[in-house]
Amino acid sequence: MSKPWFDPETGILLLDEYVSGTDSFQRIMKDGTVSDQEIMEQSHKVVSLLKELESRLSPEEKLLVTDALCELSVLYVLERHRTH
Amino acid sequence: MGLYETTKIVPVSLSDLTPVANDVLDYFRAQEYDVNGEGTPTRGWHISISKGGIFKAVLGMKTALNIEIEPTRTGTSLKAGIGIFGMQAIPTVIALFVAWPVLLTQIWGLVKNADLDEEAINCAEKSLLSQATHHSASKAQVDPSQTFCTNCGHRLQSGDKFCPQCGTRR
Repeated sequence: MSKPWFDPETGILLLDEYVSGTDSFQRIMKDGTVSDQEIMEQSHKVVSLLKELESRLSPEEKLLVTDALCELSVLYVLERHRTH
Repeated sequence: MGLYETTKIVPVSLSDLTPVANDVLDYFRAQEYDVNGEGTPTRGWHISISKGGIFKAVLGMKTALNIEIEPTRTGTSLKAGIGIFGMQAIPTVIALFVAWPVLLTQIWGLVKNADLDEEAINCAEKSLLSQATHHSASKAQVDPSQTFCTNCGHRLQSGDKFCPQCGTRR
């Protein structure tokens, strides 16, 4: 199933809508608490997905995805730094 | 002025800002925006306006242009910025979302393209001036000889071409 990253009409990022649909996010929102076990499970899930992604991407694609992840992280840190 | 916020200080003081808030709410309600307004503990008003096409839900919460109308020492402060509909602060789950800075920038871009922030500020300013005129005898104090910086509200001298406080051109 194709999951576009951007709304074709407004150009706005749709990532949050996919996040809202994940079981892990819905579970956290439902009980309002985050346990150590949930953090560990989510961390393992992310590592597993990144490893699978790394094995499937061509060198050029991997470079692009690496850049995107790094730049998103940089923006997040900048914004948090400015806010606090 | 914040990165995602338009601000203006209007050198008008009103004892009750409710009529101004009602004017802003009516103005955007007439344009079929979803609107929400509530008074603040500091005698100001917090207003949210939202409509599809410009705003979207983020993690299930509807984003909006949040307009703050607050009394200050030198008049009335008007601010318009991105927030969550009906909420005065961004909920933690949104603020900590890794893609929130991207979404914030994109939604603010749509607001700026539509000049919605300026429209909201102008609407509130027009109402403030109108209310001050109507109630000048008893409820409002407007001194046209006093000039204030439209950015930070600092009092300007007659010869000032730039604000000595923030450097904004007069």
